[in-house]
Amino acid sequence: MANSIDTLTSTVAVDRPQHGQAEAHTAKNSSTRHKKLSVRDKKNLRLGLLFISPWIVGVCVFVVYPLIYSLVISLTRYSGMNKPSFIGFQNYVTAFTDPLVKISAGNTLFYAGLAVPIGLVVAIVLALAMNRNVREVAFYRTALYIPSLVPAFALSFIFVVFVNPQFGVFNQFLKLFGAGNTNLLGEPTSAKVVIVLMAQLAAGNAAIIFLAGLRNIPVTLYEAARVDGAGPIRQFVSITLPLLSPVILFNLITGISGALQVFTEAYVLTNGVGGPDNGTLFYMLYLYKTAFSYASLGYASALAVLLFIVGMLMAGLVYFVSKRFVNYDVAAG
Amino acid sequence: MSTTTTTQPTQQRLLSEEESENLQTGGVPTKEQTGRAKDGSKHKWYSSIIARVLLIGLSLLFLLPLYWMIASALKSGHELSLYPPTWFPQTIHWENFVNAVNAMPFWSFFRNTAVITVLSVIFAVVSNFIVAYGFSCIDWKGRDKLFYVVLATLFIPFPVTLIPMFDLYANLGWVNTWLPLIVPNLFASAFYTFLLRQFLLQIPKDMLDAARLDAANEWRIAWRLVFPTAIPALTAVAIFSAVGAWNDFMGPLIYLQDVNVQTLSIGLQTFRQTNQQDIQFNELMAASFLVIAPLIILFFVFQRFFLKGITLGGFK
Amino acid sequence: MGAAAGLGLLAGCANTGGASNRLNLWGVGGDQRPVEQKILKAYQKVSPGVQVTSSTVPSNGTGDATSIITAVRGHTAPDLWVMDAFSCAQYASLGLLESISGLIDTYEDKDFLEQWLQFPVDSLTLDNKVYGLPLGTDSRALFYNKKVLRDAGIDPEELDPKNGPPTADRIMEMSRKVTKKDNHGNYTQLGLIPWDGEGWGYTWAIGYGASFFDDATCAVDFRSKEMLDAYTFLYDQAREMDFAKVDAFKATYEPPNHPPAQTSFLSGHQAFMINQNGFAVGMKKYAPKLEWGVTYLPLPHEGAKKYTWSGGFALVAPKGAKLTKELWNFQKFYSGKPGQGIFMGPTQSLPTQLDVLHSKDPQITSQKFFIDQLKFSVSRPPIPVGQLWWDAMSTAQGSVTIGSAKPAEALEAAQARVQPQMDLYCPFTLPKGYGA
Repeated sequence: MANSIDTLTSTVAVDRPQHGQAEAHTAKNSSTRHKKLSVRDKKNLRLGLLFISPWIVGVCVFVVYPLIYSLVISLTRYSGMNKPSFIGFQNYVTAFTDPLVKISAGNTLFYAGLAVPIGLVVAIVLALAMNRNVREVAFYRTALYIPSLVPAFALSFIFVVFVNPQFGVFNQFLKLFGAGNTNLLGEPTSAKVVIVLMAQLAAGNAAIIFLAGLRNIPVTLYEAARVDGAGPIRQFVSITLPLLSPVILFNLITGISGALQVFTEAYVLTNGVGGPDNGTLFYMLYLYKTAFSYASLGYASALAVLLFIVGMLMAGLVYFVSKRFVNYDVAAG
Repeated sequence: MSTTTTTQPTQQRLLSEEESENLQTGGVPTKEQTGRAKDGSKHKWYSSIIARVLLIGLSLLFLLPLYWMIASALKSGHELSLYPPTWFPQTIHWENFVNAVNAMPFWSFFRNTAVITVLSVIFAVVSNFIVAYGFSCIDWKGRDKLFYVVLATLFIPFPVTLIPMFDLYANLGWVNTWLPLIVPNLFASAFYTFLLRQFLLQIPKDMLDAARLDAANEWRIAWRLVFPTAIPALTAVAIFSAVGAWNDFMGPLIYLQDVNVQTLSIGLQTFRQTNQQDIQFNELMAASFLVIAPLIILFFVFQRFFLKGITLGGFK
Repeated sequence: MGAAAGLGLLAGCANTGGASNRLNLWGVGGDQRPVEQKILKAYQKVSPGVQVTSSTVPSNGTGDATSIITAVRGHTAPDLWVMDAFSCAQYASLGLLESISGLIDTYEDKDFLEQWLQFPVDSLTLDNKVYGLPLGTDSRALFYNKKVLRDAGIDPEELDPKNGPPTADRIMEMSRKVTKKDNHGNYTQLGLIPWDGEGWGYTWAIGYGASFFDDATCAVDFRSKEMLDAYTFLYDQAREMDFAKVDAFKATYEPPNHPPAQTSFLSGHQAFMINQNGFAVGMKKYAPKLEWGVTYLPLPHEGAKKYTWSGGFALVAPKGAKLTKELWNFQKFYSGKPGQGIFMGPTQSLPTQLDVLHSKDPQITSQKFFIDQLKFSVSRPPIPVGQLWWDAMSTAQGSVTIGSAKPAEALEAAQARVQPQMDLYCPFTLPKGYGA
């Protein structure tokens, strides 16, 4: 009996790299790769492709076409009108020497470095709050989710009150440490931090995904654990986190994607200027301005290709590393 | 209580609301587990009060933006400029809401936005479910490698898609219609497909295989067996696509030029740009509130689908 | 079904060029719309056979060409567009606009353009071709709070415009008298914040006599002595006043995205403000009891010339519009005496059409001071890289006031950023006789 909790945790393994059974199946398939596909495999292939056919069509129209367009345009000088003129890789060379590219990339990485981990933690906390079994949980869920519904520009009107140098909440907090009135939005680093904080108001989005994940965890697992004397923390670490891992992976990758492309929040809080002193000039904002304010669509396309490559590498890395930690077996045990 | 795997029953029980609630009592991780080391079982009444207090506190914090929006909407223009700002309006001006509605063709925009949103949601839920099913519940060669491509598309920066997509739609003659906003939902998106896949991968293969052995065709399995299981995740997809479509600004901005087809987000934008020196802030807040009010109601109604999901497995 | 309805509504709403009795206009928005409707109604009476519809297409701000680029490429652009005049040179050089010089030559006398102020017409000219007709404009001046000055022992009469423009030194001297701090050293009252409001680096540079583009070398000129002096002035003032503290002051009393009445000037915390004429309208509305005055922009030194600058709007024809007689008649009407006569008074913009400018309409004469300034006003140089140039100016200003770069460095960076783009358009000259 005393050992059953260990049996439980080992089946729900974090320590054993356990892939979803789907992947195990595929692994078995690949060992027979050199043989022809069995009838069943062929049937599955046909079925699989059929099911994902809408996506295939979509990817050709909405992804492949614009991507190829961007790749081609990135090798040209193009204003968006008139004719593009071919200039080879000059745009990419420029990108590596453009001081604003360095600044904007730095801003974005700084933002992502803060926003992604903080975002995950806040979202999990909110999800746990939304998961409470109380009669009025509908009220809590809605309350926590509402800021995600408010358009970014309206949120910014409200948030500036929080950062008012004299009576804003954040400033009162800082004054405890002896700071004078400071404009948190007036200094390049603190402005980025403010934007990270404002983005947390919209953590409800990631939270309801975690909520769906929490709902998927069979309660019997918790019951068994409790019976075996596991405390709340042990339950969280051994049951909740591993079984949430597929969703954690999702929110991590989409969080990275969102943070690398941060745009709207900064735009509305600083009126699209990217100030102060280019402190909130995020990469996406610079890309957008280059395309539509400075009429350098070729250069903007090159910047986009670079962002795409960096993003993909990051996602690939996370995905690859995740294979060790993500567990798709919910009903095991 | 046995901890070994036995054959999973292929039918699921739809738990009644009451049963569901009872089950959740013991198993749901309490707030304390995020860092407070309290023994949940011994002092349950005690921890339940603390949990409630924390919940209410957190909710009030997140309700602050909405409160501020409504309070600003009810203030007079003069009161808005008071320093420091007042927490509660000194005089209540309901007419700000009336003025906001009259400042734009509100009901026309509302209808347009509603149509676009409803269609977008239906298409998104259906197409993403089908595609995610294909990427998770069927084993086929090259599936996981192809999925990398899905992930990759998450990282395509939107500005570079603006011009080629607009070219495409203009050639099709779809500008000034709702088609560019609705039709893409038919083709599944990386975000929702990824989301659903993460949930669908957790379905035990044995169950699916058993159903296949019963000679059920894949389509039936998808819709009758798997779809009901994924309701919490599908709810998330529905909510996201609804909010996304409702609040979408960029799309309507470039595709909808005629006022007959424009949406609420455009109405709000023109409100903001009325006169940079003289924005009617209170009316803008009133308009913003009216725009998100339907979403709040919708969420409140549909969030219960996070509760009513069919719990799979764990029947020992 | 929604999609079908949307499709159905497509008919007659896209580029109507060709159907010469229907004109599609991207017009003004918000509370200016009813006034614009009056113009359309008036035109209906004059030309009953032509139907003009005006839509409001919001934008992401001046210089953001998303809507117009996509519209022109997709052949869904309107026949006419009310556009920020500053974008004209850039959009024209991109091929987004149609030149109307042909229309003028065909239908009008040689002196047709003389009915408008010269500088707005210049701002719509590129390579000797005109791309639009001017609409409303504005001008900048120095506003002051009489009561705050009096309380600090300064006689506001000294600033009366009839005494001519004050010098910057004198204004900063007054500002120091007016400055107040609280126990913690935070500002509670200030005089002039030189970089605040419309106190752009550009504004001061004009005052210092800078010229921004050299025809001979086809180069933007960030590094001239005058520019350096202007930006050094801002740099020095920002250090002396402690930029961070001033910034905190502004963010306290005039937060970002503030309601129109919540400004540090309107609440009596700031004695001076450089702003444009629209500000006066706001004051009358939101702070009617405030005793304010307005005078010319401060001079860098005794004996310099009065100066100001103006922005404004123009009516242009996007590429692809059919330049028919009907279009031209409407364009003339809207931008000329009839249209401006209806529009400028109620919207409190400054007219550019000379007859309307000199009208006795009280709504217009109430802006007399600002109108008189138009005699010596300039507009931003109509160069093909206008938006980039403006952003570079602002970035340099930001670095200089925050103190992250010295004036010479900041201006050098701006030059390095803009000139390579400008080179792509060389050879290039500004319109003949273009201000300084």
